[in-house]
Amino acid sequence: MKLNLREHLEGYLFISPWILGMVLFALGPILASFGLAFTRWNLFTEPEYVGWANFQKLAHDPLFYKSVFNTIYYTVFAVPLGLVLALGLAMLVNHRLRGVNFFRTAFFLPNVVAGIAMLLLWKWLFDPNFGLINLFLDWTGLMAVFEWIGIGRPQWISSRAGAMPGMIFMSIWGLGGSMMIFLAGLQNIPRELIEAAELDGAGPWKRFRYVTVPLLTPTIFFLTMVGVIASLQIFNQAYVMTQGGPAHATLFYVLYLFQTAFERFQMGYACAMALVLFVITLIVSLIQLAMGKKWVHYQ
Amino acid sequence: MDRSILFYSLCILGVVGLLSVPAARSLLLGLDTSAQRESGRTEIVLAGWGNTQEVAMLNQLMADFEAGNPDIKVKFIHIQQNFNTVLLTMMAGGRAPDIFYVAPTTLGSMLSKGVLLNLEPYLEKSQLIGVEDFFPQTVEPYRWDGKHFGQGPIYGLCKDWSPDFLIFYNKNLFDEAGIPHPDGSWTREEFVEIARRLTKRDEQGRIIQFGVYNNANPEQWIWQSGGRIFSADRTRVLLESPEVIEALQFAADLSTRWHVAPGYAEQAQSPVNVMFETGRVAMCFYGQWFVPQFRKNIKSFAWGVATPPRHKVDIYLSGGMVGYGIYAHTKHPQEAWRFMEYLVGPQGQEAIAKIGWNIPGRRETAYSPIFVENPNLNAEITQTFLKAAERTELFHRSPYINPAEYNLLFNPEWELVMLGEKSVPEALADAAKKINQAIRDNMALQKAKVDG
Repeated sequence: MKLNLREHLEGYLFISPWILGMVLFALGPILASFGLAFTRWNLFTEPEYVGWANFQKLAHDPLFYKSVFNTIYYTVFAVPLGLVLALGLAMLVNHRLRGVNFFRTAFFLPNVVAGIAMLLLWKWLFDPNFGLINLFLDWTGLMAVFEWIGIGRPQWISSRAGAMPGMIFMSIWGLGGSMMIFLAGLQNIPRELIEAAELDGAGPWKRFRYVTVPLLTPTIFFLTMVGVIASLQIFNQAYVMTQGGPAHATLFYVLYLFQTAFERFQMGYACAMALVLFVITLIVSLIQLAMGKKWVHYQ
Repeated sequence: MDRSILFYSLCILGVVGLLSVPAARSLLLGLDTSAQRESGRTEIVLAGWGNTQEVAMLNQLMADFEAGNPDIKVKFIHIQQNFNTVLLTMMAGGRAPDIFYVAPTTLGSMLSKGVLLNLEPYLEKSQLIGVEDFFPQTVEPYRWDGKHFGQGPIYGLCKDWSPDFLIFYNKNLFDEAGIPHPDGSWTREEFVEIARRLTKRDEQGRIIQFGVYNNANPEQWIWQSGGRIFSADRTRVLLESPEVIEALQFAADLSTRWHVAPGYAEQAQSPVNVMFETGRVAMCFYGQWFVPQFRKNIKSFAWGVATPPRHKVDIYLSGGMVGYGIYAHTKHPQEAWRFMEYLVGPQGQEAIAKIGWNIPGRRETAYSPIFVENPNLNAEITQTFLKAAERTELFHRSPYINPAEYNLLFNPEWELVMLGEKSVPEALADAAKKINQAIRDNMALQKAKVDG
């Protein structure tokens, strides 16, 4: 399919609001931050060129590695967990049942409710003694499972071991957005294909595995890409709830970057960190794109 | 038709694109100057924080000041959160306010960046105020000779202050437990014993009422033990000294050994004031500035204020003093000074005394009936505060490390102590190592700046 000049122009016109905003407000600072990554600058002195010194310092910074580890830990668990659960929810609310709109709204609601207030509420839920999560485990007897496998009473974000599982658990809260995108994907699957599979004798699992999933691969691919990028930038949760604690257990990469820039005022060093994150994100995304060619099925 | 829509859209787009940058520039810069020219008045910007009551008071003060000084227009910028970060970013962006709040805790990092105006020449000429009007403790922290605090020219003047770590106690809980109300003569041992008797558990052993919430700044315990966090020249921390270790061991023991204060997990659940207001903690530490709030919020029990337990040195600490400073590179130092002089002068200080929010920095105003007999306050509690104020010192930090950076390095170590995973001396030694390294790095950078 060939596009003529007018169609090209129209296309650019449609994306122009974003492009303009990007060029006017974001591009300058982004380019500047690349340059500043090679300087020592505390906002007040003149930036002083230091070559690769910031990157060398980064290579010997234990907190850099800690924050990279924490961020990857979170991403590796939170993104797949979110995808699976969001798909499950989407399939549940994909039925034409009475009241299904209520459930769609209910599952999506957490995405609309103001973030910071929600995070403060979660702090309460995680309270080891009186929080609803542990009380629920007490009431249902599930606490015995934790005792049995030797964890004991989960201390969630109040302990080094429980903080990251807590953060991952909490991420489920916001999967309504992915659910909606999955729902749209599911509703795009032609009914004839499902019916044909049914006539061929495919049971529910086979219909799911060989019809639904392949046709959803573009959606899964999109959500994985976006999910990984967002999760590499996780910040709010730790900033509001733990400040990276206890003892750096939830020190995520962007939180460390923020602290370096706006609490320690080491702007050059923070810009170097931003540049490294950019490169990491780029590499991860390129790998995903390359792998996507193998498993993503476009109709 | 399609074509014409496209054409017009492109035209609009082009115009918007062309206008954006110059428009923004002229809007931001042009309006400022033209507004000034039109009115013939100099605009002075004050940046600070405060609750609605304080903002209302400021608005009134600003109106009164403008009425008496028709050549000056004052504007207040309200920055409630991350004040220093926002302020420093504004300065870096060339949009600094002329006057802003300065607390001793952040004074050091302001001085090291050279953003504060030396007020000495203005004070000398002032008809309205002199340093001798203020509580001497509130003046000393604003003096800096480039190496030591307490000497040299003055860079700020006190707005209001208070001993910040007096004990607020729930009288009902004391009465229930049959404990006489504290009169300030208690020792640390007696204090812990009382806190133990005020700590209650449910049948499952969970603590439902704590004896004390240790929200006192560690400095309170450290100075009472005879120690200091920083060396006199502020170039290193003395966290490994026996005095600091003794003091912080006591602070940690309250939670981890005696279990009379919330530990790491319990501290996360709700703010101290809420726990006190709901009777879940019998004692906590605050300054005068919490009296109005507690008077308003607490209806179900009686409460009082006492001085903290005595130890080696009879001293109280203040960390929450707030004062005003003037931006070193302001275009209108004279006008800024006139407004600041008004704020810390008799009229400005009377307004502070009237809302009773904190102790005015001017001694005369603090002891005037406006404050002592303030109907919004409890006269007995005000006397406790004023009496303690005379024995109160202000702690301040180092010009070579800002409080946020200090906390970033100190807190993770302290969290390990509170989790019971590290001993106090070990944690303090590790924290000292990191903080001293940061101070050395910062000093090297500052020196490079001066040399360059």
